[in-house]
Amino acid sequence: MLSETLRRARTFLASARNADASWPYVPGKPSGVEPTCYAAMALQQPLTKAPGPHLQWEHALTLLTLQRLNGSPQVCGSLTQTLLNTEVQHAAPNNAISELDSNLRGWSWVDGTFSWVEPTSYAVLALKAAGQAGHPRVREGERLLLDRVCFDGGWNYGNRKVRGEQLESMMPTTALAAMALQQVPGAANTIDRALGLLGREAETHPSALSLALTILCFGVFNQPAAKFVGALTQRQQADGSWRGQVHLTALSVLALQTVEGGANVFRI
Amino acid sequence: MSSGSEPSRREFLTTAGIAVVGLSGAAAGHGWYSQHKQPRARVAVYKASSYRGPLARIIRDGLLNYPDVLRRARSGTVVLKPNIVEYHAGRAVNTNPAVVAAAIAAFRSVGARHIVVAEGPGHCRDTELLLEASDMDHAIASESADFVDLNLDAAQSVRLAANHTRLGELSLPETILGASLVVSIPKLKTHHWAGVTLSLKNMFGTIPGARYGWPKNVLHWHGIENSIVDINLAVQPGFAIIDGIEGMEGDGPIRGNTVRAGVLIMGDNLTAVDATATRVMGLSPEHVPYLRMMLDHGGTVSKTRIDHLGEPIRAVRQNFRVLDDFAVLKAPWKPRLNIRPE
Repeated sequence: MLSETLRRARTFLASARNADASWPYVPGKPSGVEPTCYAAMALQQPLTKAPGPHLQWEHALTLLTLQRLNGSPQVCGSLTQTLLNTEVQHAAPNNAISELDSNLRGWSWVDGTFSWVEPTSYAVLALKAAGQAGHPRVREGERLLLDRVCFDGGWNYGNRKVRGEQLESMMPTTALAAMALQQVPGAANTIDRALGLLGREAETHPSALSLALTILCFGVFNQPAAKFVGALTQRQQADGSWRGQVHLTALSVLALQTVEGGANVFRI
Repeated sequence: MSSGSEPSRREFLTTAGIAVVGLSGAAAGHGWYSQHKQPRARVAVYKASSYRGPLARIIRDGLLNYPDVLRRARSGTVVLKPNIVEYHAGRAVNTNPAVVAAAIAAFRSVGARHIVVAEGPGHCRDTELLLEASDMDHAIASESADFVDLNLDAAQSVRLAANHTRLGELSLPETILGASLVVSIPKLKTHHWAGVTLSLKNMFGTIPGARYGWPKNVLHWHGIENSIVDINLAVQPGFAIIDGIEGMEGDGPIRGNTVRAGVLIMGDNLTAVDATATRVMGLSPEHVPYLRMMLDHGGTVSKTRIDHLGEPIRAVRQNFRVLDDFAVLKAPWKPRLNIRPE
């Protein structure tokens, strides 16, 4: 049953590939870094043509993908240095309101702006995969993630408070940040709380993106994820995709194949 | 040029810079206080007490006041842009799906053939979750319309005519650039950084997250007000329908309290629509910086230059609470100097 789900999904991904061996978010459109990286990993195809990268998170996702697909050491080295040398703004525009540790640097979406949870998580994961787990910049990124845990045990997109009000966590950022904290001494309780939140939210507010990342996150920490598989597979469309989108379909493949014993691309 | 008799929005927007700069220069020469230079605008204000009421008929009645909007709606693709930010049960954060469904039905009833609902949520990139949790998915499907996630849409660069942000250009989704008419359908809300968030601020959601991130933080770094003006000059939305049946006061756009304002506000001059909506909230639009900035770009704020169709403001006026930082919005506008206020 699951093998048929995966076969149909892979067929969709193969048919969605553009002529230059990269992938768009939606078939027939220009390619993007995120769908190309996830689709290449889902189909185990070399990353021969990445449309970019230009943004910090795209550098990180490309590096992670190249690490998983035995990409060029020269390109990986260049991307690693780019990420390690990336500068961001130290303080939030309203730091007093956000109540964050403004001395910590992570990674931002766009150069010259504030550090956010998702690009920081991608950068930490990619740099760890590239053998840079002990680099001070990576350690600082981990500390930034720990500084931004929300009251409910997960992560919002960047802040935990705005104007003194607590912000609720979101599932995709919570899964990515928890995975980025692999092998961090003293983070076990934080990760346990995040997994608890993901487990609860996956039942009440499921989506393809959240379910796929939850399965991958549970897998990274050797927690049983089979209970989320049915909810994810039920969302597959007749064309084999999830919502007709390449990155959602590829992430779903990457998640479901771990249930069948396949490699988890986020495991360090 | 397109194959039809008119240039497409894509063709127009790539050449609109000169015209807008010209308008800006002319308006600036007359100064802020020359309110009589603001173009005359018409804003329709209708009572609507419930999301179960005849919303499609009300919106259709409003639309029929704007022949040029009807012509554009019939000439190509109508993109309806609701405000979908985050989902929190019981909070009036997002445009209600009933208003979006009614807008689809109303535009279809006046001859629009292709209607797309499009949004690029600015905080949460899990658009599927937002659509399902808010029931927007069902509302769109029930009216047989399509949805486009603008965060992931293919994008093209558009040169910024006024360039308040100094970004030079913005990447805009093809769905927006290819539309014959973009309709902003926001919620009636106060906003903890911008004062109010209405049809102009709603255009933040047309900027693709895949290019600018979640949130689209680079726009904040270049000034929220600057960004609102630049985005609107680039997107050129042609109509607005504000969902004020339930609004939000205080710490909007997410954490404020629900206000049952019972009103729909519509028009083709988005600055005038937002100015009217601000007055409906019991606030003074002249104190909102980005509304003042829009005066240099064809916007209308002065109540003496806005003709109200339907209900007079006094019949629907509320007393929305604002955060202390925006207490000035409660003060009547009393210009004392013939200079542009900072």
